[in-house]
Amino acid sequence: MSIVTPIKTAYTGLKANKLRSILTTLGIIIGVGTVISMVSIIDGMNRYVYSVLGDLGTRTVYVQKWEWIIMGGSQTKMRKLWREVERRKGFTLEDAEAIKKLSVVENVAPFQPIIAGKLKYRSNSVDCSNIVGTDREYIYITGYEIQRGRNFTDQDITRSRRVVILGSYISKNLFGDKNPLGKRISFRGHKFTVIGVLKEKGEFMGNNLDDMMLIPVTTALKYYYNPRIRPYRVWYSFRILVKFRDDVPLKKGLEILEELIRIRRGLRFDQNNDFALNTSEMLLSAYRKLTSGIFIAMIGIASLALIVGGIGIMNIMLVSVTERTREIGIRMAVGAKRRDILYQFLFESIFLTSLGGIIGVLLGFSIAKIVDVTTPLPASMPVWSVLLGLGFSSLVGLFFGIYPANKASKMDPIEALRYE
Amino acid sequence: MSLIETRDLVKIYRLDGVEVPALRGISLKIDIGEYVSIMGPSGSGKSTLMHILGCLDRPTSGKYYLDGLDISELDEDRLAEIRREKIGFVFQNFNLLPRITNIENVELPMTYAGVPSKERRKRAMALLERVGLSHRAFHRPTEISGGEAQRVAIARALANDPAIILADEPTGNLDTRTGREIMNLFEELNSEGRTVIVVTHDPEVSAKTKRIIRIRDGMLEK
Ligand SMILES: Nc1ncnc2c1ncn2[C@@H]1O[C@H](COP(=O)(O)OP(=O)(O)O)[C@@H](O)[C@H]1O
Ligand SMILES: [Mg+2]
Repeated sequence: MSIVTPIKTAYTGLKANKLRSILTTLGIIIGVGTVISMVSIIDGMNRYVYSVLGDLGTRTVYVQKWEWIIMGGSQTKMRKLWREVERRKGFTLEDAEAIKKLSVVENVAPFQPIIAGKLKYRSNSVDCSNIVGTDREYIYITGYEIQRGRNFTDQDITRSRRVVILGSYISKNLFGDKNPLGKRISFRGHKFTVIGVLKEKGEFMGNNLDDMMLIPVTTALKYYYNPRIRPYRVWYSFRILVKFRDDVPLKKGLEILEELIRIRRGLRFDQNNDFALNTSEMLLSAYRKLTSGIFIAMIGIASLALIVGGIGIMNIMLVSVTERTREIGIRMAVGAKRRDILYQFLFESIFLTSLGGIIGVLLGFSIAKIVDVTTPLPASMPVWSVLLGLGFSSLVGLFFGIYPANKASKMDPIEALRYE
Repeated sequence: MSLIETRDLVKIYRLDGVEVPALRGISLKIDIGEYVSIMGPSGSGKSTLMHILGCLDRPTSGKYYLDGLDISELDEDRLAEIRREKIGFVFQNFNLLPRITNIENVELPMTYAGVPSKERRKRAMALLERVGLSHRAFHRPTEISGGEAQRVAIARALANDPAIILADEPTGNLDTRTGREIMNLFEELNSEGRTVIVVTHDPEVSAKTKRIIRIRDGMLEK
């Protein structure tokens, strides 16, 4: 017997009970729909995060007082940890100079964040969230580019000049289409001369990367840095961006860097680091840990839905087998082997769950699409998730169809024929 | 050797520990091309005998040779093949599948025989024409009369061109006139050389056949 015949037979059987068939596949639809939508969203986020963090360069190290990812446990424990971090010695320009001398590094940039504030030019003003005191190396490390004007010079740094490079968003808001170069803007009581504008970079996870301004690090320290203001002791503490040479393995570079800093801080071999070397690789791995947690939870939900759906299918198939006892007898009388009956009901069950799987895939994609359009979360639809959804739904049909199909095929033809 | 030969067929049903002997030693022979009726009162074991002759059931003891084959030796798959190739059943209540069309019902034995779908359709149409129902081919069994349904069932029985037609009370659910038409159809089939066995309790029906085998309480009457 060909493969087409049992499929056709199964199809005819299901057509007769359309509504019931659809209802029983609800569990499958939900299960597959969950998997597909979640996989799409997570996959989309992965691509996004990887591309942007990749941009930032996983080989860039942030030398600073605190670890980006602090796993504390209880709240009191966390608070204690943060108090310890607050008491740590901060980094200085001298540290940056010392790191610059290492042969393994390509670029080093000091990084002094300034608490956000308003920028003014004549009657225009704009709130700037990312204000950074740094030097000319900063843009080489972070991948920003100068669109007009120039980068910082050594004199800008050594003389603590009040010059500023604006992010494209800030420039647009203060100057519109006018040329900002040479204009003087004010920020918290000091005037700055615009020497450059950065090329637009877009958005990352809802953050506007062009909402930013750069000033010489020495200027930042001179006019704004104040250790009596609490944020400057931790969140806004001085840090150093380090990018290793391309031919240096990240691990090797980190070792050398760590050794240098330990020596500079006078740490004995038995003392722990009182500083952190943060890399976006660490962010990535934390991110991976998070998403794999979501993944596992999702697989749990989906399996549960599939099992519940499968039991529903088994139930309905058992009812169907009983209802069609006479049909089974008739088919046997005209020459169907037990195997033919088995296949008929198995195909019917697989057909049902695959149908649910297809609807689930469509549903999942629709949800992903809606999320993609209405939220900043991106979604992509990997082909393998479709195959996985369809594969799993047919497997559920096969697995939960075996018992009813077997029952059908074991019927005694005479008794089946006599069934009312 | 005869087409059908049984020796001392015994069939005992077991019901809640009670043994019900339905057949108590039946030995008979039916040759190719015969038109036979098996006649007896209700409960005499006719249907039981027919099921065994049709390879739907096996005897408790005794031998059944069909075309020289010892049926008791065969496994279930072989029995299914024999039902498919050599036997066409006609039942009192027609036993058509209500959810598919008449022509699909006629095609059913051919699907299990692996006949390609085009060929199947062609043959099924020819058979429906043969029983005078080609105009009902694409209706469902629920949309036609009892007499018509029995004709569809006969067309189905002929689907794989079997040597034997086994009919169990084929006129039981039909009025006298329609029943007569069905019997005429059997006579036609027989005149073409097919072996036809009709099970009935109705003397008027058995009178139409060429030989009557009488059965009572699971045994042949002399
Ligand atoms: N499946 C069964 N279980 C128990 N007894 C049965 C079964 N089938 C038939 N019988 C009994 O066997 C006897 C013969 O039945 P059957 O062959 O149907 O007779 P007929 O077709 O001549 O009316 C009856 O007494 C009937 O009750
Ligand atoms: Mg009977």
